[in-house]
Amino acid sequence: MIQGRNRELSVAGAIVALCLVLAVQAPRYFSRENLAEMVLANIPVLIIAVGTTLVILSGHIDISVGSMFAVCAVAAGVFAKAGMPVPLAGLAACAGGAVLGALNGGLAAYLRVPSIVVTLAAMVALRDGLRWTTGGAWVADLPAGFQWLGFSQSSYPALAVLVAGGLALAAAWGLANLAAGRAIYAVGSNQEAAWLAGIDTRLTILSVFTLSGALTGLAAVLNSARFSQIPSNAGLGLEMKVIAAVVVGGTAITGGTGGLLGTVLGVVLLGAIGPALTFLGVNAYWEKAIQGGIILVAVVSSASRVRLGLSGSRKHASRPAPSRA
Amino acid sequence: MRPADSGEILVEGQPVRIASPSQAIEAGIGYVPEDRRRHGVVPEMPITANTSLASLKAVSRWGWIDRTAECSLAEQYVTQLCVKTPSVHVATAMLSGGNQQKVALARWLATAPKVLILDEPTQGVDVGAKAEIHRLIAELAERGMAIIMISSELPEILGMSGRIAVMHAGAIGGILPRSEATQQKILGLALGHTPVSELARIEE
Repeated sequence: MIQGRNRELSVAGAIVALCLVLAVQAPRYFSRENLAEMVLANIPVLIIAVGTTLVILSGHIDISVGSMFAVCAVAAGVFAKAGMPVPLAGLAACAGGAVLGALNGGLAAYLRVPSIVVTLAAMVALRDGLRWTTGGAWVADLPAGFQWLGFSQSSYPALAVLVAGGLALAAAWGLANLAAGRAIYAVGSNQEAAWLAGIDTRLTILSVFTLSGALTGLAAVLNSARFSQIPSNAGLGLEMKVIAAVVVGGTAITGGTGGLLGTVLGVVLLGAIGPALTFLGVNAYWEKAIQGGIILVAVVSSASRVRLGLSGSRKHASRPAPSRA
Repeated sequence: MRPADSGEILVEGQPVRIASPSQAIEAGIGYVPEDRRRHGVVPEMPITANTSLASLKAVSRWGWIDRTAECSLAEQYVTQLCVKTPSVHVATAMLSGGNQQKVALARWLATAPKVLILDEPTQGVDVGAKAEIHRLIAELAERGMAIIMISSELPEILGMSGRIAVMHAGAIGGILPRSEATQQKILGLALGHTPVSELARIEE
């Protein structure tokens, strides 16, 4: 929020460089079909990343979003098949996501269980619970109105882009201008100082997790609408994709610094690079290695900033308390 | 924060119940903590956000922060407290210890407290800023703010206080008015093995 826009600029630079290479080596990358496919595939990532950005900014982590994504997708399909109108089924799935997120957030905020433990438990429990309930079967024979959520196949991508872009903008605006946004930064940067300043830190944490869950539900619904069946193993590994995009975008994994512009750029960079490798004729096995490399560079550059004393307070916190007269 | 074991808290004669810092703020009590880095300023945040953090309600409407009001609030205190900074938008981590402490003070002055608790307000602060903070505390007291200063520095205690409560082993060992306070008496109470009356006898 404060330290200029260096990270955003370097990620944007990397995207531009990638585009230049592709323009020379593989201009077909920029075909309408490929671009549309990439955008559609990454819209759920972006929507979830908006929520994850808030969670990470508040100094927490949610690794259950992939499993939550699957649960919400299957739930939306089951509700729709049971005769619920499609918009209502979608809303119910979002609400379900919000409830799951609130459970995570409640445990992390009020019982002070570390959020990595809470959401790891949720990740495993939701994934295996879903496997057990569905027996691994996909949800098929969805009602007619489910695919494209009743929109036409050509207008649906525009709708999805509008929703995702609108959410990212709204969240960015809120972080900058709302007292609640200020609270998220304060809690993530220095939870005790925030609490002493009268901020309801627990409510803040509960809220970001709830929002993250609701957005995951929305992403699941928007993604499911693209296909005629809903796989019960949807969203495997999605949490890593999302967290990687957020971290690459410059949000400190320790909380307190970063923002949504970086996250959007991170989603674009990591989303663009996979298909780009295919187009450039690089062996697909390199994709993960290169993504890993980008994440490593991002984390190391944040860590060196911390060492320079530009961010992070808890690193200096070990001063012994003086005795009192 | 530990819950109270016993006793009651009166602000302007009215008993108040405090279970959280936000209730204390509403009751008109401000607390500038001792460990600036851990509990005081949020180092990544600019001076503006640090100044308004405990009074966000006052600079926002329906949860929407009025940036102009926030800026002028910060500028008012930067001027009043002589915070040395090129602008109010600088990250607080960039300031010197003394100036960070002034920003921590600004946050609580912005809540317009009736009672201000200062915990080691000049610890780790350079001499110049220390004098300025002392002058400021005196000014605030003059204007009628009740100030509780917690300090382990005897010259500071003797120089600033109207009444001195000396703690020993978690309880108040004795309260001395300024006129009676000496280094010896304070130390005696702090060490706990000589009540004031006995100390007086020894002096005879």
